[in-house]
Amino acid sequence: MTPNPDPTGPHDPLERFEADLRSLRPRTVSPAALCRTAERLGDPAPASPGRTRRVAGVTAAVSAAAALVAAAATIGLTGGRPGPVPVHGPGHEIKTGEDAVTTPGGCECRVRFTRVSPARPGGAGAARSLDHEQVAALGS
Amino acid sequence: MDEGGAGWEAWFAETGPALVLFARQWADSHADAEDLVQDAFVRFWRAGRQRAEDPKAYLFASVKRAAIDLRRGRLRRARHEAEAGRVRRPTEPLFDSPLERDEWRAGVEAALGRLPEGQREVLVLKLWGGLTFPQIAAVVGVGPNTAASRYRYALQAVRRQLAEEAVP
Repeated sequence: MTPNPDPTGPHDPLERFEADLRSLRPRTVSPAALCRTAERLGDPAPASPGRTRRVAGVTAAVSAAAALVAAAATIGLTGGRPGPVPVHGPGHEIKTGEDAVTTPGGCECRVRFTRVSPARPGGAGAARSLDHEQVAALGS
Repeated sequence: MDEGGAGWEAWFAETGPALVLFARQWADSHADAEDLVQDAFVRFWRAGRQRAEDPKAYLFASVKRAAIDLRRGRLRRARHEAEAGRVRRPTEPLFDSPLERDEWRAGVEAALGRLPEGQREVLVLKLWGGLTFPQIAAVVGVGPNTAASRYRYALQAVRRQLAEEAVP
C-alpha cells in the first residue's frame, strides 16, 4: 500500500516517489550484533542491567561455535548423526540443530546451526556460517 | 562524535541500518551483512576515522570492500555447500515495514533486486545512506555526475517496475 499523500510534500511525481522510497526504514541492527561490536571495541559500560553479561555471552557463544565447526563437520551436522557435541570445555555442549549453552560469561545463549560448511580435508568450515541468537542473560 | 563509549554508539545507531542494507547487496543474509558491517565498523572506529577525509564515505567504502571480500569467500563456500546438497535460506526482507505496507515493501525490494549493481548501490547510498553525490562518487569510484545520472536512472527504473507490476 502506497503511503498516504502528504499535502505538504513534493508535488513532482518522481520526487514524491523518491520520498515514498526514503520512508522505508532499513532493518535495524540486531541487539546481538550491537553487543558484539561493543565487546570488540572494548566498551564495558553496562548501559542497561545485564548488558555486559549479554556481550560476554554472545561473544563466548560465537567463539565456542567456531571451535566446534571442525568437529561438527566431522561428525556430520550437515546430515550425519545427531547428538551433543562438546564445544567449550567441560560442561559446555551444543547439540545439533539448536541448543542453549551457558557461557563462561554467565549467560545463556541459544545457538542455532543453519548452515555449516562441510568438512574439507585438513580444514574446518566457516564460523560465520553459524547463526546465533542470545535469549537470556543469567543473573541480570 | 566524541571518543568515548557513547561516540561509537551514536555513529552505529545513525549509520548501522543503512550500512547493513548497503552490505546486503553482496551478502546472503542479514546476519552475514551484520558481520561484515561489524568488521568494517570496528576497523573504522579504531583507525580509519582518524585518517579519513570524509569518515562517513570512508565507512561505506570499507563496508563495500569487506562485502566484496565476503562474496569471494561465499562463492568458495557455495561450492562446498552445493557439494553437501544444502539449500540456501530464503530471502530475508531488507526493510522493516508495517503489515499494511508489506506489499509495497516487497515490490520495492524486488525492483531493487533487478537493478544493475552500479545503479542499486547509488540508490541505496543516496536514499537510505544519506550520502551526497560527491560522497557516493568516492565510495563507488565514479564521478559525481555519473553517480547522479545512475541515481536518476535507478529511481525511474524502480518506479517503472512497480507501475508495470501494479504494486499499489
